[in-house]
Amino acid sequence: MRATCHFLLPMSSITVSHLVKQFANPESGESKRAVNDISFTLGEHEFLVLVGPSGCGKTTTLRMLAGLEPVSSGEIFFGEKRVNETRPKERNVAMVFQDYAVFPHMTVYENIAYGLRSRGAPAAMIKERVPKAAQIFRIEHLLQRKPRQLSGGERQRVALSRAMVRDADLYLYDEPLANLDAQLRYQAREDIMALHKEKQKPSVYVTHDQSEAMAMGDRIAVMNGGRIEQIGSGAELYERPNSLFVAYFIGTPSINLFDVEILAEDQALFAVSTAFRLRLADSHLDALRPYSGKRIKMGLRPEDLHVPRLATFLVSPENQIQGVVNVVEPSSTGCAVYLSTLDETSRDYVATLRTRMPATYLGKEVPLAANMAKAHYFDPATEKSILVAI
Amino acid sequence: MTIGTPAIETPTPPVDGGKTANRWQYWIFAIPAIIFQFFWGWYPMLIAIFLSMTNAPIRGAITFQGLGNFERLFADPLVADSFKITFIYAALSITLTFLIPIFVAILLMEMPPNLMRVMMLLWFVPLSGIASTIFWQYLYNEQFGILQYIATGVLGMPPQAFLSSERWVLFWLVFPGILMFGPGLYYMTGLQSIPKSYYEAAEIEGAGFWRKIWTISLPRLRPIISMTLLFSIIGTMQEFSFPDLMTRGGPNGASRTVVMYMFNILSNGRYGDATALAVMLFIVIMAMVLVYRTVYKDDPDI
Repeated sequence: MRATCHFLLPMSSITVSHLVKQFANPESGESKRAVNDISFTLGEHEFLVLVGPSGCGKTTTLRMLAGLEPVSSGEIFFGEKRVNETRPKERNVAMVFQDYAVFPHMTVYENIAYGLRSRGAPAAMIKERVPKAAQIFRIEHLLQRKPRQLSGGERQRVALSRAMVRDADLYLYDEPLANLDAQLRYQAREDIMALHKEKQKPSVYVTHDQSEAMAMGDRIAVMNGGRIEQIGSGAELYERPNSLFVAYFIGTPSINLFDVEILAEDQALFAVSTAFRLRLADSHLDALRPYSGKRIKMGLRPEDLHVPRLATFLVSPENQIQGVVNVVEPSSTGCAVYLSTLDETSRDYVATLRTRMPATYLGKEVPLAANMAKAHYFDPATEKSILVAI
Repeated sequence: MTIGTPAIETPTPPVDGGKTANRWQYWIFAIPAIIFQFFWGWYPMLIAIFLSMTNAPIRGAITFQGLGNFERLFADPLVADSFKITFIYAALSITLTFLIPIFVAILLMEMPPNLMRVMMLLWFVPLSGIASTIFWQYLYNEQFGILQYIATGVLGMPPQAFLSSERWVLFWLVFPGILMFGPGLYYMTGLQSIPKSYYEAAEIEGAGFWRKIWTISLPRLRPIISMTLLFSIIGTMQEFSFPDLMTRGGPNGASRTVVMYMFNILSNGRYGDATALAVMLFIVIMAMVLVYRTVYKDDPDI
């Protein structure tokens, strides 16, 4: 899937191959690789999200796609055409900036019309398209205003209209929702998806918010330290993370990680720590057998921990964890419970339960059944998943 | 006399509805500014207006003469000439030393950072005014000056008169301003405060070099340009030291500005006339500033 087979893909797709961005530090003379050998292809109508922590190189990658940042090595293809040296204005991309970059000295109308005017579009076309683009984002009544008179959400919709008004070959979004408050963000997310649905063009969306990535992306590329850790659909990343980083980065609350030792008894394997002793699922035996007698990291998603009575799988003493309830956070679907094991290292782990847990449980010890078929295992040295062959 | 009051705005009470009893504290803070404004601003000006209507002797009794001084000045053809010269000088100076630096600053911003720093250093290198004046006198020297060498030796033109040419003297007086002084530094700071994303967005929207300058750089520089233009008008209308050192008003009075002529009159002991001329110049500059402020409206969107 990660192979660079751009010649097989339709014309309007985007191919990035072994892309590197090196920044030289003028003081120390050292150079740092902000983007370190990344490759991916982007389908004709695909919405790809680049997600990762600050400084992982996602924005630099986006800026190289836009042509705002020169490429150190590697190649970018728009369809068959290599665009490494093509200037931004000739790439025919549209971009929404984090600070929106709406020109404060122009009216909303002029802001939206800017790209059309730059490209010498006929006046009739501008007259027709600008109000239409504004209408899609519900700002047609603000066309004669200046950005100063607009709210943050409205300014963002001006930026979206400006991107929408032209027919670009590639749509780029650089954390466009980062400066909006939670409620507006939800609306803006839908606006962006509406734009994508209308244009049906390849889009790359950069965010540091994994829940945003999960909600919007056809595919998601998780980036870390200038590399793509894993690329795939949201479900793939969630169910089959190929590294500790991806497992921990995707999902809120985060995956619970336990330091366990794998012990073999009869034909079975057990994950053992001072607080629990869990029997590994049969489907995991083959992959884990080489690790018997070794210490590894085991990951359990919060929703794979259940109140025994409500578990959808067979509960036995061999898949139960005892925990002391520390915090109960109600949520719309149930509640998130923060527990600590009876382990000497009293780090909290989290279970999200489908039912509400009464506050009277606070401080009490409760049993939780772990769905071991959904457990994840990671090699502590390489931090790669033991289950997902890479 | 209530001359001091216009120097400060009526103090606005703080938002929390401060007591009017605390007003005297504002006055304490304002006193230094009021004193300064009064003794170096309003008092000399009012005295000058008063003296312009007298014989303004250094010693002895002051005799009031009404508008006699002004009548004499209006009858003097050299006054009209000096105003004409000053207007030409100001217009030349503003076009050359005001407009060109805007575009030089914009071009400098396009250069790689290292080259930009070197160019800025060359452009804004601090020079002593007298020293650079002497330096320019050498450059303009009709026999040995390097400019004469360039004109005759390199370009093959007939020998040039430079500062001795009645026709061109004003141009040659303004010319050093392009290289020596410009409000370029203000423009550079103004340009540096423009968010990079504006240019990037413009570039992605298909704007070329000139369109970026025309639709982003210049509109964003507007407040700085307007302020520098105002200061340039006020400053060049009062030009004195540089032309005085370079030409002493010559040749044949072709570079004698209003302030230089004022100085001449003053040197001849005609204090009343000199003061009247100063008041005339003040009124002219004030009128220009008022016209400018009416024509130019501050844009709140910047």
